[in-house]
Amino acid sequence: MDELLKELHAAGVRYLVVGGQAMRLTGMPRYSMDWDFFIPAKDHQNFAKLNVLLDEDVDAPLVPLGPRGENFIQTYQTRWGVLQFHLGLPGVPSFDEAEARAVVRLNENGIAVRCLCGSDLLAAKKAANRGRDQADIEFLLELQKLGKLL
Amino acid sequence: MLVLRPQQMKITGDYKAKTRLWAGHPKVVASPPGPPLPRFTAQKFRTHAQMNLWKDALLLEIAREVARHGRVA
Repeated sequence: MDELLKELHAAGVRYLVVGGQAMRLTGMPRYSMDWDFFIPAKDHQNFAKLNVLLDEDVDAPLVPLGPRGENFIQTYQTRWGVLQFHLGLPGVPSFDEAEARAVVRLNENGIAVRCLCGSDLLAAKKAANRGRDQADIEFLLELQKLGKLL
Repeated sequence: MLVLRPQQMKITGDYKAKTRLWAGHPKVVASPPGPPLPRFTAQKFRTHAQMNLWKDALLLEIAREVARHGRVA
């Protein structure tokens, strides 16, 4: 996965890691079976860059949001594991706003990863509010209480 | 130097204790390798609800495979 993260950075791809991996990168010891990426819904240049990078690994290209909400989430099984691309995120107004507040976190190997900021991650988790989100919400609220939610 | 004895390190009856411990000392830990997954083609969804349904079905399939064969076929 480190290789892909470096390539995303080198190609200037606009993305924000969200979901379970974003939780892990805030310092919560947590397992996730996939990598969730929030990407702008209609940035055609960004889709082109992503499709070049993923060309050998996906059986269908990533495509922009359709007029009736098609392609809102696109999921692929790749050599890096399951990658999910979200063209919108409950609780977060827009990609552009989230990108302006984004943070860079280092993974366990020191690779820089652009992530949703802590407060947006908390908002997204509260909006999703599934059973499996509750532990994440508690962790983020605890970080917030300690002034560590960045 | 503060030395914690085992009985001081144990917190009981407090469901949120581990969350406080993790948040007090956040550390990025490598994700363990996941189970092998059944092959699937690219999936596209209109909503998170649709995606969650598909994901739950996939997890159920994995659980059944493991129960049947001890591994994902």
